[in-house]
Amino acid sequence: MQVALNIGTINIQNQDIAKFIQNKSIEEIKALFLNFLSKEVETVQQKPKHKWAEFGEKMNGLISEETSIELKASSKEFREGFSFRDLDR
Amino acid sequence: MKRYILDTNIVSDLQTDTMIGLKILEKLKSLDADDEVSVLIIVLYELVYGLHNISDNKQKKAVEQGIDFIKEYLSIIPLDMKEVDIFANLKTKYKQATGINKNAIKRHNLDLLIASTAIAMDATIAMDATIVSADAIFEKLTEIEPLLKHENWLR
Repeated sequence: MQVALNIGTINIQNQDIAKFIQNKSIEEIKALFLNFLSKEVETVQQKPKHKWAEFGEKMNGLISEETSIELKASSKEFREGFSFRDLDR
Repeated sequence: MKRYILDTNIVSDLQTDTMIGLKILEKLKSLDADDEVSVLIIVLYELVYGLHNISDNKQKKAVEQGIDFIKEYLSIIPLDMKEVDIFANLKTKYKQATGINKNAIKRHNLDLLIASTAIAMDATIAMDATIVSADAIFEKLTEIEPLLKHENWLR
């Protein structure tokens, strides 16, 4: 997959960055930007998964859609059939 | 730091490889590591009952595995004395607000119990407790009882 980016004008307020970027060619700036993005992606990928993501990944895809419907039907039957006999009499 | 209490419909949908399942997965991934995810003991009752109703052996094994993951990763909230008064109060408010008769309200007893547990937890452990369910009754209950927090992760 390829993505073409057209991100318009970036206003640089920081003097040091402005000075640094001033004498660079467009190609150099593009390379810097891509280098920065690939480091960002690497960082995200290296970030350890927390417990909830791990749980979600283990659960997701375990059962078919039909089984999920059956589980929900059993839950509905269980929930609607439940009563506190004395209280609801 | 928040506590999310997952309802049976959310746990069931999470287990499917569908757009809905992936949506719930993404939501779980977006939580903070120090958040808490739980289910009420009632959800386990329902899932185990559901397991017994499934005839396909392969699917049965998969549901069993899902129940094991729930027990391994999530905290299971038991019923407690703390929600007794909250339940009675909430049920009365619901009856008054909706005009539902005492036969029809029976089918909501467990929903009201789940809602009462969330309200009780929220009040006693000073930790935002939110019910995650696609069931419309919880939305209605938040209108009646502002202390109840509810999210529908399918939206």
